[in-house]
Amino acid sequence: MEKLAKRFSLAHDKVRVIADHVGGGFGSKGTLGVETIAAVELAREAKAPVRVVFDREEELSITGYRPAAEMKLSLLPSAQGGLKALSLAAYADTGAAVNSLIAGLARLIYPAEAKELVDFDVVSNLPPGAPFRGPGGPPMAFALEQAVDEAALRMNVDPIQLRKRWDGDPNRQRLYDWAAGLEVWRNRKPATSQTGRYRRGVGVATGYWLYLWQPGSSVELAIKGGRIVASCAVQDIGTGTRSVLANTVSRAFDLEPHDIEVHIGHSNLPEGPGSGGSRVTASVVPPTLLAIEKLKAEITRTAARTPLPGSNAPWRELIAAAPDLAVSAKRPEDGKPQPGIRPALREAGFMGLVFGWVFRLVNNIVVGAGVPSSVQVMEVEVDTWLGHVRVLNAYTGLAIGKLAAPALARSQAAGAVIQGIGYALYEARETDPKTGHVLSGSMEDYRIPGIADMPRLEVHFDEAGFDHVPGGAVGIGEVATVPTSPAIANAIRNAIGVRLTEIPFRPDRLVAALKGRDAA
Amino acid sequence: MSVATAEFRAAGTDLSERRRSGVSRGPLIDIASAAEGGISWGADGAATIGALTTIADIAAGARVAAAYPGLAASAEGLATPQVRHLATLGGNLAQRSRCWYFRNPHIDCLKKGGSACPARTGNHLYGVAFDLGPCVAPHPSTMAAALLAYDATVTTDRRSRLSIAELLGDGSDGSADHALAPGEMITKIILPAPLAAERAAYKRAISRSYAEWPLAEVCARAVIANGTFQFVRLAAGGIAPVPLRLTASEAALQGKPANAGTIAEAAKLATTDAKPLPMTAYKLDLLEGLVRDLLERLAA
Repeated sequence: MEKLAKRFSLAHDKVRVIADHVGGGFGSKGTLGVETIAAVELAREAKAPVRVVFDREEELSITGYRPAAEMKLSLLPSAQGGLKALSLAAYADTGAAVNSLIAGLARLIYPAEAKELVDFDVVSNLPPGAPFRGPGGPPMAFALEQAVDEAALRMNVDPIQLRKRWDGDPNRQRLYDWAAGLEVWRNRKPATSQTGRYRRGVGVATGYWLYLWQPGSSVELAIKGGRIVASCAVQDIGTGTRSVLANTVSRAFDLEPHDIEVHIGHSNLPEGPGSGGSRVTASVVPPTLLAIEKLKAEITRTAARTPLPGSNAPWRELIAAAPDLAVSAKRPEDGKPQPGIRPALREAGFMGLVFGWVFRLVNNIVVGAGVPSSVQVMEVEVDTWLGHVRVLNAYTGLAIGKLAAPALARSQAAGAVIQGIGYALYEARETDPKTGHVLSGSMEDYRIPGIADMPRLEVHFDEAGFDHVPGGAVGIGEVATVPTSPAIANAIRNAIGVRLTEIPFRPDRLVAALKGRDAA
Repeated sequence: MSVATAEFRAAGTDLSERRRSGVSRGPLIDIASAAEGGISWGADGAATIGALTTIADIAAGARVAAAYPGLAASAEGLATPQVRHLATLGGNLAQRSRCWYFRNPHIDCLKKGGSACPARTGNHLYGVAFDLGPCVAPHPSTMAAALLAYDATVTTDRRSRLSIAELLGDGSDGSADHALAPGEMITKIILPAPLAAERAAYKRAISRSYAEWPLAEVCARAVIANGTFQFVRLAAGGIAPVPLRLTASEAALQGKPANAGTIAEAAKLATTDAKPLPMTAYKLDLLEGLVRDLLERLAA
């Protein structure tokens, strides 16, 4: 709404954005695209509504994609087995777009005496790349987590123990302990010990995302006709924002989520956060909790009579009898974190502090204390004759605080692994080298995982670490998909003794690697 | 509307996508009721399959699976349940190329009246590894490779008993996916009776578990008696502009003991006369792996 108001020099009350349901919300929805601007201009000229619809080829060609990147990485362990230095240069194939951030994300994990991190955008006439689930995170982890795995192999240290040594983050320390205790990890075979056609391997990788929240986010709770209505100008990109609000409110009143009417997706509702950067849950749950307290006080104050003693649903009775009323609350600041729990940006020292302040002032986003983290363990089977990789078992451990909506958190965690498997094994945007035409412009040619490609999947939530956040819950969307591709790569390395450095790990790349040949 | 320029529509599983993208724009003739479906059996145990028989019916028929297990397994292995349920055997043989460039409505190619193959100098990751003609797209028909393995013949409304090679050509004509005349329609497919005690199997190499066009695929038949190969027939798809018999491997196995050693040696010969493109050498590894996999299964 603000972007449209600014672009067309309109007062805020002259723009209304309606987005009841936003599909495919990861990436490309945060910016005002050329097509939207054109639609607005056409609508104003024609004085009639204009609708923009992409067909599948257009959708897969021009509406944004995660840019491919070539990365060069080196790391130097110290004589004592610590991490002394790390350098990472990333060259992102961004097309007609800039501002990729891949290498820079390696600043905030694995502290070292010296780091040299450089990001380049390779700008071309190809369609513009766009932010895509954990922008920069999965490619950064793909390079860094394989390098750490390789270091562990060469140092002859258990890869989880090396991460425990190099990565002091308290959330991930607990996740490393969980991963080290997994039977599949304890039973894994040493690398290159297998010779048969089918070889199995186990790999581990870690990932993080920033804990972000948006100041000013407000939630209104109202009683209308004896029902609770929760309102906020936030949108649901398919990840369950409605359920997060309904769960939080219904729990407080001993109701069922479906008893709560949730109004979101309209810009004339109370100010809400943008659904990017995994910031929604941490932005809307705290004001909801405050509003709940206000609403309880207001209902009790206006109650004509108190429920009979022994009522098994006192709030249900009170709400049904309450007059129409409304309260609202704004996102409060976090409490004081436990010692040792710091914002991710603190890894960047004084500059991180400065960046955090600028980010809050300019973008109205706070980088809070505590680092949402993910550790994944993958077991794969490689068919060395046909170059086929199958993920047999996936274990994803997440530290994202308390679960605002447990069923949806689990579904996000599983979905992130599925998307990570697609990223690692199948997905690739193929273009014609001469004309730039997108060749994989249909679901026949752009491959995503099918149901038979799914592993047995175990989700582990470590709910500690965010007690300073009102409600204790932070976002899950991005962090959950960051480490999947390097965990699979490390598992393949464990299985066949060859390290694959280019995704997707298709049969052509597997058989070439097994024969020591360069893949096409 | 002229029959000569019209395209036939059987189930339309391939055609509908090309209509939507604009690659196919001409008139259509719906043949859903014009051609034959169903399978009939001769006294000698040979099958005649109507062109409109669905892939699912071929995959599910108990008698097909007993007589021609390689054909049934090929049918079971292609596309998705939804497509197999609708798609027909005749349509599978006459379907158009899956080449990215052919399917892209913005790009010219030999199969769309162009003068050059843009994939040859472009991105041909899924192209041929036996470069037999100007077009580098592999033939898309899984059933054609299986029918080649079974020495099946194809009858049209104008000609009878064309071999698979006569139906699809030798790959030297890059402008077509088959050698049927304009307006000529496949009506039935005739398979010779199976050999006594023969076994057969099919496998495709793909990146996912299911539902993917083959990088390479092989239909294998064998008769093994007294521990030796008495008869071997190998037909491969996904690797050349037309399905290919792997004659060097077949010859190497004839009369040889059915053990892992001879199979591994013969599998290496599967790539005899291969001419891979810069991006398709991997298909030769997959082809060798497929032959080895299938023969080991048949010999087990």
